[in-house]
Parts: sequence; structure tokens; C-alpha cells
Amino acid sequence: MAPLTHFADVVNQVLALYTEGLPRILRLPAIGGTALLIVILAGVSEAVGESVVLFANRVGRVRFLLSLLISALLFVFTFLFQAASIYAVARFGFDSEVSLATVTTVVGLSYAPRLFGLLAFLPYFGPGLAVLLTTWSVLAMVRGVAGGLELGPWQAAATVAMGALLLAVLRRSVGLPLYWAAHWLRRVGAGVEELITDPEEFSEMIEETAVTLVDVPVEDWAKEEGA
Amino acid sequence: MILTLLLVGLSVVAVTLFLAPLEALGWWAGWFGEEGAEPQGGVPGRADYREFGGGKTPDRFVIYLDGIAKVGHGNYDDVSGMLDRLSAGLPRSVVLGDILPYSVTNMELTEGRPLSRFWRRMLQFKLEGRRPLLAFSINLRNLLQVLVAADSRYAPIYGRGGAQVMVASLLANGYRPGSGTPIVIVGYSGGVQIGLVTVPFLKRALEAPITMISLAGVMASEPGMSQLEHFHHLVSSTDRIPLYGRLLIPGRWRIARNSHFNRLRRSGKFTSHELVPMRHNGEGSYLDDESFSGDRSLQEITSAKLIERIKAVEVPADAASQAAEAPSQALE
Repeated sequence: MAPLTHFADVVNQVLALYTEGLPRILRLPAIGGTALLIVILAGVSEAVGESVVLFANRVGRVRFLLSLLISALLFVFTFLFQAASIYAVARFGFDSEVSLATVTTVVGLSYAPRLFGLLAFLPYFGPGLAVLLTTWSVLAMVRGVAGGLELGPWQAAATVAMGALLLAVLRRSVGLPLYWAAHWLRRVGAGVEELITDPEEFSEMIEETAVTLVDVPVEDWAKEEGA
Repeated sequence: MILTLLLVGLSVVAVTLFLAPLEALGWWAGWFGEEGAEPQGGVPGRADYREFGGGKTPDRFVIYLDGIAKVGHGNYDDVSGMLDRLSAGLPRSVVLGDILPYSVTNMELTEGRPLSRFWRRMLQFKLEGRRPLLAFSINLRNLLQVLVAADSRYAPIYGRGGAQVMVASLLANGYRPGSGTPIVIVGYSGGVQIGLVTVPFLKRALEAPITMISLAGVMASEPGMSQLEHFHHLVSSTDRIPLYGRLLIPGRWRIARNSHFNRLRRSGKFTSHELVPMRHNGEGSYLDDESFSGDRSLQEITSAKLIERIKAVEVPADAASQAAEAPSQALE
């Protein structure tokens, strides 16, 4: 249970954008495990926050839980690719010699604000809160990369931005099979023939069901009322 | 102590807010019935004011969606009074007020829910005018449903559920889909938002011209606005609540030029009507029959304005003839 020992302390420090400095945090025992735990929990939390997709696709309760776990798993994989992207940019762009493990830990810790990702589920305010949490997480990542990789603030910001760009390019090129596999896994987990994730497509689909509204069985009730 | 109470209160609000979308989402996903089955809306209940039968040849159907104090199918005395006035002043229109806008299944707060006992108690407080802060939990609960309907992620599901309940009520009262008989949705406060999200569904299901009349409405900028014949906004200059809604919702700001609301304004289909000084709710409000402006009660003034706007809704010639051929057929 080592990763849990300093969990609250670590999360507090990340949320405060490392006011006490990153080195102390990185020296804590099993900090890599703590970072991974943060990522996993953030993944589950964000999956709950974005679960409207599952409801919209009329996923049953058991498959709903399964889908949350699958989303969390995919979230962890995305994190690993993001950490690798940032590591590549730092190493080949800024000659950083920090290990992949340290970069992974720093990036993982920066996901702490996303532990509250479930707040995205809140009506009306949810999407705004999600943007706020992601921004918070990016700021923590920039601070973490600056401290952990010994880069200047602008170099750290550029590393994070270019890492995100690299990840986006990979996702749309060599990473496409993985993207399709992830989509397939989500669809199979949800147990639907087609998983609708585009809000406009969903709006069109649900509006089409309006034609069935006039088929409601009201005759018996109407007779009773009229009697 | 105060900080602890504040934190507890905030936690309760956060949890309640978090749970608010579940009724609509769970209904759509089939979680409350057979999973995977086509969702069913509740059948509307009775309401005392409603008049129907052979005496009427409906040329328009008016659906009233009450404000956030509503708990069930029945209505508070002031609402019933206003609906009676509408029914009397619109002898050829069917007036429906049996819908609970704040439940996609039309399920009353006071019956068949895990917290029914609590809501019955709150309703009792509200009717007796006791413990207003506690009784306000009804308004708070329904306000959260308005927020759900105002969230573009949840609005289609909420609209689909609300439309199902409204269509059931319309059909049960003799509405003939495809007849072109105009539908007028009168929404009070948050009821306007609920009405707006149902418009795309009502339009597609019934192929009817739909007019929205907002009585001190608090609403977001909704896609359904583009499908309305007209949007009348009745509001008193002394009522600040609709103004707060306008300030808090970016889609209502003038700077959001392409929002549905601003496009509605530019199309000339939005008209604001100022009423005499009135409060948003309670004593001195739009529906108060015991407060007066001149020699008329506020309820009388509001009802007269509503009747004037409803009568101005044009009835297509073919709809009028169809209505004359088959008056209230479903009820005979």
C-alpha cells in the first residue's frame, strides 16, 4: 500500500502547483506507484464525468460499469503515450537526460486535478468545470516538467505543447489502428452495434424517434377520463 | 460551526446536483424499466380545471408548464385560477395543465419515489406557509431539472421525455397529429426552458405550428427556438429573476450573435411584452388573485394578456375545418 501512504500529501502539492517544490515529492517512496494510482483514479472519475455517452447509447447497468473500467484502462494507455511523447520532445528537442520513469511520474502526478473529472457530469456547469480541471492539470504538468526535467518555464510549456502535438499526429497516423481498437473495445464493452459519441449525431438519432410518440396507448385512459 | 454547516450544505447541493440528470438519463437508458426497452412516459394525471368533451371544438391546444414550485399533476390554487380564466376566455381552445415539467416520466414528487414522504412533507410546509427555507427544497430540486434541460448534453433526452408526456396529454384530449392545429406552450419561469427542449420533438411528431409564450421565463438559447412560429416574452419590469437568467446564460448575450436566441430576435419572431409591476412568485406575483393593480387583480391582468396572445395565434384554414369535423374525438 506504499502508493497510498503519501497520496493526500502528493495530491495537495500537485493541486497547489508544487508550492513546496517538486524534488521533495519525487523523493517520496513509491512515488511512481502513487502517480499511476492518480492516473487510474482520474481515468475512472473522468469516465463517470463523460458517462452521458453511455446513457445516450442506452447501455445497461452491468455494461455501464464495464465501460467505465474500459474507459479508465484506455485513459491509462493514453497517459503512457503522452508521457512517452513528452519524453521524446524533451530528449530530442531540449537534450534532457532525465529518465523515462521520471517523466512518466511527473506527467502522472499532473493528472491530480482530473481526479475531480466526475464533476463534468454536473448539469450545465459540468463542461466548464471540465475545462477548468484540464487547464489546471496542464499547468501542473508544465510546472512538473520544468522542475522534474530542469527546464525553463517556456521550455517546459513548449515541451508539453509539442508533446501533445506529437501525440495528436501519432493518433491520426500510425496510431490509427490503436484508435480503432480502442473504439472497438468501447463498443464491445458497451454491448451496442454502433457507439454514438458525436452529440449532433445523437441529437439527430433521438429526434428521429419522435415519430413514435404518436403511438402511445392513450385510448383506454381517455375513455376512463371521459366517463 | 457555521463553516461546518456551510460545508455540509454545499456537499448536499453538490451531490444533489450530481444526481439531478440521473432521472432523465436512467429513463432513456431503460434503467428504471426493462433495459433496452423503448422508454415510456407516464400517462398524465387529472387536473381539476380541465374542461373537455362535446362542448368544445378545439381550434388551438394550450399546454401550460408551471414554474419550479410544482410537485405533481394537480395545481396550486393560484395556477388553477389562472387556468380557469384561460379556459373561460378561450372557449374554443383546450387548456392542458396536467403535466409536471420537471419529470421526464411525469411522475409526481409526492408519489412512488424513494423520497415521496419527504416531498409530501415539504408540500405541506409550502401550502401552510411554514418553514419556507425547507419548503424551498421543492423549488431547488426542480431548478436542478431546469439546469439539466439547459445542458446541451442532456437536453435531447430531457426534451424527448418531456415531449412524450405532452404528446400523450394532447392525444388523450383529442389532438389529431398532422391536422395543423396550433399548439401554444405557455411556460412560467423554468417551465419555458422545459418547453423549449420539447419543441423539436413535438414538431416532428405532430407537424404542428408551435407558439411559445413565456411568463417571466428563465431560459437558455435553444435549437427549438428556430422552429417556433413566434416567441412572446411576458415580463414585469420589477421582476428581476428573468434578468438574472439572461445575464447568466452566454447564449442570451447580444455578443453571441449566432446563438439560437439572437437568431430568433433577428428573425422578428421574438416579442417582449411588459406587464405592470409584479413579483416573480408569491404575494404580488403574476398569478396572485388577491393583489390588485387598479381595479383588476394581477392574475386577471396576466390571464388577459395570455388570452390576447393566444387568440392572436393564427389558425390555418385546413386545421380549423378538421377541428370542426372531429371535436375531441378521443374522448367520445
